[in-house]
Amino acid sequence: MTKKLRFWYKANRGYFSLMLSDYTGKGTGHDETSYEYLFFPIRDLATGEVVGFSNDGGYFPEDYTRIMQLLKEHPIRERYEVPELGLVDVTVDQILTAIYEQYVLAPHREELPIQVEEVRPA
Amino acid sequence: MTEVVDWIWEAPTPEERLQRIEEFLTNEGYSLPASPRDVDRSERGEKHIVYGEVWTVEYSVLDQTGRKVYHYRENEIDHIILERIKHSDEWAIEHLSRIPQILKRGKIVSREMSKIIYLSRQKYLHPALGIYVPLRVIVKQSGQGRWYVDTFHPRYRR
Repeated sequence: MTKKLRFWYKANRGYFSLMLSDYTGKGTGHDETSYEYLFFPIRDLATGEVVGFSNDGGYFPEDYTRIMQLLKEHPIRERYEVPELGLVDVTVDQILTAIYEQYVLAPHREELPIQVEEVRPA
Repeated sequence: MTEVVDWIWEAPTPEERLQRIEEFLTNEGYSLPASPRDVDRSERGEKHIVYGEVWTVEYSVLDQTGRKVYHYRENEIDHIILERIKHSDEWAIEHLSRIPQILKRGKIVSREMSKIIYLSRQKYLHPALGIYVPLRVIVKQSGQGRWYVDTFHPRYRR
């Protein structure tokens, strides 16, 4: 069974947070290992288990490409479910790509004028 | 914890959200810290635009390099405190008043064009786990060129 993450995104500051929806531990810490302070696995302070992810202090639209490179170099194998993004049984890089497409690219697509190809009468 | 965050967010103003936060912290056995000493409050109440929002200056502080860093009321309530609750880090809220000290005497671990990351030299006792945890402060530069405290969180240590 995959673990379920609760998702939040603040578009104006390009910040996301993902936390295990059933996390009941006593406290967490941001682990900067390998991700250049652009992306943080959030670990339970007592057990070291990864219980969430965030980019606190970053700006996701600008950092996305670098974060994905870093995740390729240091992959996270665990699979998750993120109901708010409509995702089931996915990896972290798939989650971040979905956030990027739904919250960074999609709003800009809506701003673009719709180009309708002119149909000339025969 | 996610239900608590939703309940806090339902309050319409930062001050009402702060009331709910205080209620939650009291129930958990924690409290909001007193505002830090040794900071500049001469601009307290002034409004600045950050992230397209109007934020209110709580205080400013000169960091170890003489850089003036603002701390904003709305960011403290709606981002820093709420994120700590979201991540079950409410114990760290009691150390919010350490931010100026970390800016003045902490270790700079990363410096970019418009982002600086400080790590406290001191470690703080997690009351429930009995372990000592360093705290990290990230400051950023706004579009108007002002530096401000963006976030504050515990660092994980093996």
